[in-house]
Amino acid sequence: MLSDSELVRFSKDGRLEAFESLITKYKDRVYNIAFSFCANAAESDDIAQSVFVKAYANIGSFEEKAAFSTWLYRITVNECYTALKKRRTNVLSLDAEISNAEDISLADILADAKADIEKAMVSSETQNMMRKSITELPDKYRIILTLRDIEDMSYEEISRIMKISQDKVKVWLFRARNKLKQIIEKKERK
Amino acid sequence: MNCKNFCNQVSAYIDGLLTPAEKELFEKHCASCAGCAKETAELKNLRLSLLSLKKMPARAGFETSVMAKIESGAGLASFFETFFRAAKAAVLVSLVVFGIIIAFDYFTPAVAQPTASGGSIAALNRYVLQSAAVNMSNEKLVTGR
Ligand SMILES: [Zn+2]
Ligand SMILES: [Zn+2]
Repeated sequence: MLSDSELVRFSKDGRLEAFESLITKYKDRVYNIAFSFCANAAESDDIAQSVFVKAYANIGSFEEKAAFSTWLYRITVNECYTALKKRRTNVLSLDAEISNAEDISLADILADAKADIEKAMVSSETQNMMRKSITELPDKYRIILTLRDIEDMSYEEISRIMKISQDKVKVWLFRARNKLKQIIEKKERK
Repeated sequence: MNCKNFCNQVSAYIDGLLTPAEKELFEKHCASCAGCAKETAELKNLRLSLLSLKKMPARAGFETSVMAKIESGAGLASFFETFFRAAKAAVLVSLVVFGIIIAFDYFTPAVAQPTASGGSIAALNRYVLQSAAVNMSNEKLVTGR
């Protein structure tokens, strides 16, 4: 098994199969981050694809001062920002996006024979409500919350990815969590 | 320390970022303040719920799609590289031609007519007409002789 930095060096030499190994290793994490941002399967797939296309196009300028993963997640965060900006100009209903996500989780549940379907349906509903609530947060709070509470990254890694101080991570995270809590409570009261 | 200060520490507390002294004060406060205790429990619960969200994996065949894009992109890049190399050569050639015309424009009036003014084409035309006139008068002289 080659290390990331070995795979990066091979990729810089134009060895496509080395880069493909990096995609295999990181595709789920990148996709999951994108999904937390937009709660839409097709859009997350587009974002994740362009993350890797951009990573390959720019791998020559990656100086390896940071870990490959940090660099890749930074590209992911940027692509999410770009996708959100683009989406705001098109008018897409959030409900349509969420029901799209619901289809996927339902398909996954049905594929899993062992799952207690009734129980899974309830949790899937809660999950969709939470995912929808996350998409109602301002961009930077959405990012910080995704990296910390969904991806379980450390403050140090988040500060490197977002290029902000750990104190700022702390403050933004505090606001993001409180804001999300308010959004969820408002939904539950309805 | 009042209640508001503790509220600001809840997030840091659940991430284990408080110093041992701060942590002790915080927990002591929560033991006697139902509001802060409830808030701490709720935010802890929120984080755990977010952590337990179902991980969404990339679809099957994801690598194949990306690699196809990269390979077609690489083809496109090399096409542009060739195109720009050709374009660069074309620009160099036209610069050389342009340079010759400018040089011609600069030196020709001195040869043909020192008072001449105007563009290079005009200067060229004047030069050609003048030489023709000179030739013709020479011919006249020859034939007239
Ligand atoms: Zn209190
Ligand atoms: Zn309080």
